[in-house]
Amino acid sequence: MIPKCYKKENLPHKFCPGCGYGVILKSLGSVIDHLKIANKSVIGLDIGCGLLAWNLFDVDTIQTHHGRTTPTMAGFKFAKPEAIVLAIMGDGGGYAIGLQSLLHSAHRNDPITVILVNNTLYAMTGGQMAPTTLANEITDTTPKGRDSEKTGLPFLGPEIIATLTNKQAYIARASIRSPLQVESCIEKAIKNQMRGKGFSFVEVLSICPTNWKTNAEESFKFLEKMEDVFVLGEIKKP
Amino acid sequence: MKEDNLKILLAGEGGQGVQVIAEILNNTAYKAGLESIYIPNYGVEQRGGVSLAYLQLSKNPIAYPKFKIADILVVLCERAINRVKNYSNRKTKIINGIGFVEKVEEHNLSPRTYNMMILGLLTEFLPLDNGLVLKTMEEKFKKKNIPAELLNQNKQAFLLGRGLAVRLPRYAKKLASVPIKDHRKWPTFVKTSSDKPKITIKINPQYCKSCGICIYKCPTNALHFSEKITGIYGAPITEVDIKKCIGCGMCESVCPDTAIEVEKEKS
Repeated sequence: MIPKCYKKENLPHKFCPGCGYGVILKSLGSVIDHLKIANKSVIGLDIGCGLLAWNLFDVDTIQTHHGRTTPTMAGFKFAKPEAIVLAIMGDGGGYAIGLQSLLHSAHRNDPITVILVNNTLYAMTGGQMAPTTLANEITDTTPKGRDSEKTGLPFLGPEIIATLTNKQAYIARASIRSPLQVESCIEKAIKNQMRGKGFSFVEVLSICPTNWKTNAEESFKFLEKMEDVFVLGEIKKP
Repeated sequence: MKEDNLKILLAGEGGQGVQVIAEILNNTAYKAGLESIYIPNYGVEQRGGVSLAYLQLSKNPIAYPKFKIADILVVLCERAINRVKNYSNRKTKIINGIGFVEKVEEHNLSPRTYNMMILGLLTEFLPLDNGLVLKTMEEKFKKKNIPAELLNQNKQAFLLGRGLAVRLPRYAKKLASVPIKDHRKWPTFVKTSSDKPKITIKINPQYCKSCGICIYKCPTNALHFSEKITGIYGAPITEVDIKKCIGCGMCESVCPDTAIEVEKEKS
């Protein structure tokens, strides 16, 4: 079903065939429909594939600098506390260039919702190694597989952020293998913001058939492999 | 050649064969002893952008591969018009290929030969030998190992294009009135099961990008790729075998492009 808050004239959206963003944004759209918050939400988009969602929703959007989505949206929330702010970013924007912004926002316990999409690489620039790349995973810049002795192990964002936040925070990890789980995690994260108390953060494991060079079946098999490293579930809830 | 430098700009949908046309003309010009240069402009074709090819033929060395005003502008799809209209001035000869889309089907040729028809049409306006172009085309396709049947159809399409070029003035009026919109028709494919509970499945081909996730996720293997019908990117859409369908709605929830809708009547 097409969410009511989608702009139908801008469909089909500009994501690649099989992109996980489609499922995540569809889930977000149905949450926005369900909570009836389309006219008071603002979506902040980071640089990365996620910015292609700029005209998908009938919701206000802000395009920010790379990695600066979290502080921009936190600032928006301070200026307009009744707005519901959603920051959408990729793993490169959130865990590499924008990590300090994300950590400090979590530390300050800003009442915003961050949705971070993890596909283990920088997808828009052609599939380079990101902090979340799995050990021995082949990317453009690690043609023999990521050497974990030299470049470390995948970055576990939600677990690290959970140690910084207080009891009011909602932190979870979901996977597009079960779209219903994504939907319920996003809904709880937005409700946590609507209560006006704590930082809410959802990491969604996604697929990238274009840069992984996989078909549908192989993509989902790789996603299963990711789920062994990135454990799903609600890490912290108020 | 009147001018010492002939500039050609081709624009079309990604996958329509714009780059193949330019490559063949470029190779032919080289064989004919002319200076030639060709540069593709790769944008976001994968996400449905417009594909451009800049081609220049000259008797003298060429300094720079791109240009601002084209002498001949070839447009193969409606969306490309907006993209390239700034590359033309009054003297630019515009070949609007959109009106010729049906010509290929009228002559029982494969839709994949459309670009070769445009190549034939374009060759008439260039200082190149038709035979040499045809020979280069054959060599290129033999390297790609395409079937003999399709190669033959491509040759026919090339000759058809040459024929159309002669009669071009007659089409001129008709082409000028081509409206700028998507010429493809997008019917929604609806299938309803006869048994109870009644299950209705709607598939919108204008959204389907042929990723195959629904086919992989279907628990009863009720979905498969269509053999005839293509979606927005020219790739086969999903079709449903309604007898196998149990109406679980898995395909609807995993489809990233909202192309499938499942309705199940409550019994």
